[in-house]
Amino acid sequence: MTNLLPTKFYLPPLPGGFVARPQLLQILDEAVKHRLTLVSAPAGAGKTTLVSAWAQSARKKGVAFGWLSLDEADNDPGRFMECLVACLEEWGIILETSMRYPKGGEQIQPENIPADFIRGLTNLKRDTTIIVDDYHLIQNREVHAILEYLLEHASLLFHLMLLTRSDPPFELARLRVSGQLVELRIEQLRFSMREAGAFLRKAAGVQLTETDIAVLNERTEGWVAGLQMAAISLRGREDASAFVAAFAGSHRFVLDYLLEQVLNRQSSEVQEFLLKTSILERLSAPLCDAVIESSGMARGLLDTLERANLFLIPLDDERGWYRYHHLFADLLENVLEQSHPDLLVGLHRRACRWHEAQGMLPEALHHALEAGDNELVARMVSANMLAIVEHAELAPILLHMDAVPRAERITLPWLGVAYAWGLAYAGQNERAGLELSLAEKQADKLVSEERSRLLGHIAAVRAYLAWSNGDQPEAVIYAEQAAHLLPAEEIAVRALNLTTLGNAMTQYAADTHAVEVLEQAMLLARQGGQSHVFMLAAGAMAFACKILGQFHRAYEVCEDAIEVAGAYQRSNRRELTAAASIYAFLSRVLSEWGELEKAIRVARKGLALSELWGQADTIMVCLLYLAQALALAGEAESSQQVLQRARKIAQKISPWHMINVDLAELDTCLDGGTSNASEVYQEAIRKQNAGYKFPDFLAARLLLRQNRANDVLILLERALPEAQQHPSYENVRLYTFQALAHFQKKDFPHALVSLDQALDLAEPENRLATFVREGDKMEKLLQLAQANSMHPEFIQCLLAVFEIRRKFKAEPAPGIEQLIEPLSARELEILNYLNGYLSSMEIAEQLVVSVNTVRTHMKNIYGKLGVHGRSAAVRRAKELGLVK
Amino acid sequence: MQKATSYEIHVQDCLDEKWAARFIPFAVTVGDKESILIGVVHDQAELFGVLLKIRDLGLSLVSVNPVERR
Repeated sequence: MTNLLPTKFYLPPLPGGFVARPQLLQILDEAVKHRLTLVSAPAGAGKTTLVSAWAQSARKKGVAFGWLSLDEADNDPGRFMECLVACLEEWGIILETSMRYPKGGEQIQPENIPADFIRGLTNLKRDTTIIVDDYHLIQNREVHAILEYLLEHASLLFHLMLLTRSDPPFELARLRVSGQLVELRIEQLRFSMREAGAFLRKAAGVQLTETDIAVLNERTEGWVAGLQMAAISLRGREDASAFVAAFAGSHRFVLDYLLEQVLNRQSSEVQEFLLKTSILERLSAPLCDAVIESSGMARGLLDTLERANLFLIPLDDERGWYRYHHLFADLLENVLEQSHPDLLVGLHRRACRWHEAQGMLPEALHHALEAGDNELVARMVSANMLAIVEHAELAPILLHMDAVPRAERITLPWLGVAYAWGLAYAGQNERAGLELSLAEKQADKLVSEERSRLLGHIAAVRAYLAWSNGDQPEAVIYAEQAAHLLPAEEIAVRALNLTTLGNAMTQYAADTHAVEVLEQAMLLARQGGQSHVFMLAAGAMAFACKILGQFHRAYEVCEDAIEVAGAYQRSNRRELTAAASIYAFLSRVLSEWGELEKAIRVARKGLALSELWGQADTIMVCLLYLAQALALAGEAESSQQVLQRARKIAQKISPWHMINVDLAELDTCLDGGTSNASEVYQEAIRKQNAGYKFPDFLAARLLLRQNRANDVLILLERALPEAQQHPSYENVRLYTFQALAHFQKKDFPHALVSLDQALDLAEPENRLATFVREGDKMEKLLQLAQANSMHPEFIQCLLAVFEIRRKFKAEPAPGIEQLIEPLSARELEILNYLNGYLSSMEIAEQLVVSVNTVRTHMKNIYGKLGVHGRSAAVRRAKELGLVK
Repeated sequence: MQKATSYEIHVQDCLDEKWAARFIPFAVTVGDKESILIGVVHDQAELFGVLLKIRDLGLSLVSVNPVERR
């Protein structure tokens, strides 16, 4: 998938015909010493050009700044913060933070702006200005509040410059009075006679009389967009004065009049190109070729437009992407709508198809909706349903669909189903269910094949929702329904549905049938080349293996899946976020094997990926296993914090998830060490006494902690025969509790018999943690077993882990660990640059490669180090001794 | 809910009728030195939507007035 994010941080180059405006640059030089600089003026007043000219010279002088161009999608607090942080990193303004910010759609209040972020801005070493272009696109009050908060609280070295068409709703009067605000407004931006003259001579290349210049400047009111159009219209004219006179005599809207002149001066080819491509937010040569249905003409035309200063703004150094000046695009689009309304649908359709083929699904969906072609929307959405919801960028798509009026959604059942998939993945189960009911009502309007396909999808989402709500029997029913309805070619959804079925069966009653179903799911996903679904199926398989106590097999499944994810990453140059759950389960296996540092690292990697993806269930799994690994490593407080995060997310998804967090918390607290352990423990005892039924292993552990050995033995007398019917990884623990209960009663012979059974089950799967987490008493019991020559090798191993744990607690080891994948020589080289103050663009210059290459390396480095940003990468690299 | 209200917006530039589609639900009338947009909006949000379009075209606003209900 093409990532357009970097274009947002690209400093626009100066247009041809650029006129230096030294007095304004001087004002800006002064302005950036103030807290806020406001460049507030109408569209086409030359704001971006002026400030980018200042920024180009500032860069040469070594002034620190960052550039951020906003889009409509950024009008959301989560998304805005994400852009802001990415901008700071892109421009090498190092922040001491490794935090990720909530994805779009989540609530952020100023007081919740991560303290890390503020601290980072407080630690700035020199004056730094963040320039935000097109700030008028922000209407969300929370975003305004975030910036106001920063203006108030960030370091005095932090400065903000906003380019906008209307004033932001800040307390400008107060800032003005306290001398913290500098404003550049239309009066200052208007071109003077002298500037207009210089501009027209340079841009039009014709000699104009002073009178003509005066007339033009008066008629356009010094508005540079108008002057530029006039200049283009004048180019190559011999009757310049006649043109000026006609223009002055017209009462029409300046831009309207001038656009007509501009278009008339172009060849019919260029005219047609301009009008037809005006529907595009961003342009590239291949995209334009697809939209205007030419083979290879677009490249030359784009170059022509750029040379002719026809309002085409490059968005990268490679001349890969461009956009039109917003105002110009608006004008063109209006002409297109008026003169060729019949073309619109076809243009949008082709744009949709091109973006779809590139995997740029949000853009594709935008054009499908613009085309107003319901059939296209339905086909687009249904063919890419899973890709849409799996392609990391869940939040923007949900926002997009939120914007489609409900009435319209109702008539487009496929859109409703896609929306439901998205909502289900984001953990908004109730709303997802509602959308499905609406879509289902429309099913009768479809023809039979299409109808069963739609109903198949609906059943598959319902199965997923039922599983996520903890209703396994219902999940099984819906999943079987879906399997029956879905046609053979719907490989991705069928494989996903089998995964849900396998998952539900595992939860319901783990047995070999679940494993068989999941094997089918993995096979189908692999055959269909559906890497992301393969990840989910493999994750479910690893989970089933874990439940069945098959830790070695779970490990193999994870290794296999990580290989698939690696291949995906190499060929698509982006991480496979769906691999998150694989890392979670791998972490769980490693925890069990006592490889705790690696387990923590792997779980963090999974967490990072799952947050990038925004898939709520997966975030939960990663958090729970991270908490467990941390608790086992004796990091009780961190573990507790991770569980608190899990609780917040679980609250939003379903009560079932809440129960899982509660149980994980209790188990962790019983491992000992957390500050709230006694609280949680007392509450659990109260619940147990009130008749609440904990899972047997937890109930036994809780009783054991209360020294109620007899009650433990009574409970296990019932539980153990039941457990033998259902193979489960927790069964081993039942034997360990039985052993400890006997041990508590000083009944050593029975204790050893039970322990022997536990060791029999545990040794083949190397389950060290099961014993080690039970602490001192278990150690004593194991020493007794060692004296009796039971399981000599395994016990020796176990006792060694106890020993290491004691040392680890006394003096935490430095984090010199092995990376899962080593860094390449080039990546190490770039890592060393990242430890400096060069921006990625400057690094690219140093290495004589494109900035995109540097970015790709950076992304790979972050992935391998399991971190998100430049500063975190540097910190991590230092920990690992990779840089000095 | 607010009742539908008619508004009359004056802008300083002479817009052609071809801009009318852009300003739905407003109709555009071209005067001598200014254009007049008249239309019915259901709430303030709809009105602000039109005002933002005027801003985005760099047009100068002269006046915005509610018109008596018919």
